[in-house]
Amino acid sequence: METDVAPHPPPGETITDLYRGHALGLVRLALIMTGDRQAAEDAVQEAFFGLHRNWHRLRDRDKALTYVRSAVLNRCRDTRRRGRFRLTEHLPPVWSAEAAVLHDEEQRAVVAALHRLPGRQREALVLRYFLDLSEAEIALTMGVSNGTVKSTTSRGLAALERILKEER
Amino acid sequence: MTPIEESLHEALHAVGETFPAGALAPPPAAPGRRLPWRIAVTVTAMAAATAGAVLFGRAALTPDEPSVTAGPGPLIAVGGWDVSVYLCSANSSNPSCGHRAVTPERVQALMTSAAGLKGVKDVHFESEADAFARFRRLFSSSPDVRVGDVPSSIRITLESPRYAGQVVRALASAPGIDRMVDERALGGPPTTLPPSGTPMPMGRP
Repeated sequence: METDVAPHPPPGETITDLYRGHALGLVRLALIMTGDRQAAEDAVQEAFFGLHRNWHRLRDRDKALTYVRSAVLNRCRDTRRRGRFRLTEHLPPVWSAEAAVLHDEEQRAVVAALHRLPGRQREALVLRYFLDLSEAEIALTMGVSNGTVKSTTSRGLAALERILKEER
Repeated sequence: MTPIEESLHEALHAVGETFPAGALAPPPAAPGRRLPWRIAVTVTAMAAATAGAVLFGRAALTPDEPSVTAGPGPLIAVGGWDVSVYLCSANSSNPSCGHRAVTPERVQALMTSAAGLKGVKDVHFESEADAFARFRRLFSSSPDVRVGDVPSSIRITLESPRYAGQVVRALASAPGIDRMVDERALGGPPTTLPPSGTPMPMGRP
């Protein structure tokens, strides 16, 4: 199935290094986005698998990390959108009371509120406050301008605060 | 940081840390090698989606596959069957499979049971080789997939979709089944109907 791909030297070392350095953070990011541990692990594995396959097409290999971050976010979006194709039981999200994993009620409320935001706002906030990315890095990952990141983040925070106030 | 930023930061890290560092899977293999277990699971999910062949049109179906039937919506009935019963393979993540493939005798017994259920019109078996061939046609750009990565299954056609629940419940406790999917529920709520009493895997096998 790889016949359309020109031969290229195995980039194993670099991709493996990238995996060792960032996969855990990305799985956790995907867990926050999907609420499903298995889906989170799958998203990251698939993203790195995709990096292997597309390595020869990457013009700037310094941007491999951005590629993987974007790929993980894309897969998280797909997981949310096409949850019906999952072959695992529909489990409550990890932050829910039912999952009994997150014990702090306030934290559960914050994450639940985050998941009521529009997708782009949620992504921008998670990239900023979980991965601690800069505006420029978020812009590259999401494929938008720095200004859009700034306004999306700001609107997301305001909406989050409003939702939490309404619920108190 | 403002209070809301601090709350968000703490909550996100609390959720993230519920995934322990030691649980991280090894890096995926480069293309050309065997599929990592995780990807094989995804392939299985894609295989489930092939039941409807809805995204790829009728041209992808071979003459020996069920014909297109009229249905109330665009997402159903294109593949013809209503319930897919995915059988245990050595790659199955379901603990009840014990990483052992279902035996031919067990398949025959399942097919006989299924055929005898109320509301069942047709039962046919799709081998790993057939499933692989169909997967290759439908997902020609997908990663390296081999025979065995896509599980064999029993495809059940019903007299009416309303029998799906009964059929699934009747087969739920039978050994040799990895997953069952109510294909008619595509577009609705989650469609997976695991065998009863079978804990779903959350981590690696």
